[in-house]
Amino acid sequence: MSTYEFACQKDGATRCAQITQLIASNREVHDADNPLVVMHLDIIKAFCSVRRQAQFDVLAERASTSYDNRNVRDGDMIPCAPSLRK
Amino acid sequence: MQVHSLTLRFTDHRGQPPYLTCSKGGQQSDGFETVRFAVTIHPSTGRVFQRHPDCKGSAICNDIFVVAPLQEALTLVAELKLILKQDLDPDLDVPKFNCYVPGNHLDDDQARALFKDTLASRQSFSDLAAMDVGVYKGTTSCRCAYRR
Repeated sequence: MSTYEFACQKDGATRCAQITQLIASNREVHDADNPLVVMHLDIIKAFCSVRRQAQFDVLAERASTSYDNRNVRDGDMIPCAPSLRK
Repeated sequence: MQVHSLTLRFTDHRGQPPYLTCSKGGQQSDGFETVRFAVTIHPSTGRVFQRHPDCKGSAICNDIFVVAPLQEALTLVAELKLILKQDLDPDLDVPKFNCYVPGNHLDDDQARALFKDTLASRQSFSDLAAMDVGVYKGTTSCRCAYRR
């Protein structure tokens, strides 16, 4: 999985910026018709708009409903970082 | 607390204690909300990225960065917008998306035109139509397309 989440780390914002710049600088090939870009996404009222049940499903490591366009179904395992279960 | 309305009391930079009436709980100033949000959103974003091996991503709280060729990045973002809405119910603020083109191989007009053409090239990008194009020179080596 090529994603990195830094919210749970010390000075995560700096690490995120550094990693993003590193990934972008590692791409050597630049196609003029399809250039490499860094896209920054924003979520409206993110913290208070996300469904709470999904959080419990992650901590329980099991889906209570379907996710990902039914690629994950009720009862399927969901990966959870071991540090979150301490 | 997170599913109920509440009154948040905090201390501002002048040492004053303002009160903030909240309709749904969780605020960005609450440290635990950061962890809770990351835990919740990471599996959904991870599954989408897994289907797009040409794209890499990084995130801090609700700021998500996608590093990929333009067409692949737009394809992933269009899918991510859909999946996040279905799975978790947040709305992505498309007009506030930023698209940086690192390097100096495109000038501002080329970057703007290319971005506009690429957005119009596929029906699946229609959800991102609100992402109008402009150019901002944040640094000498980076160009940015965004909604004005």
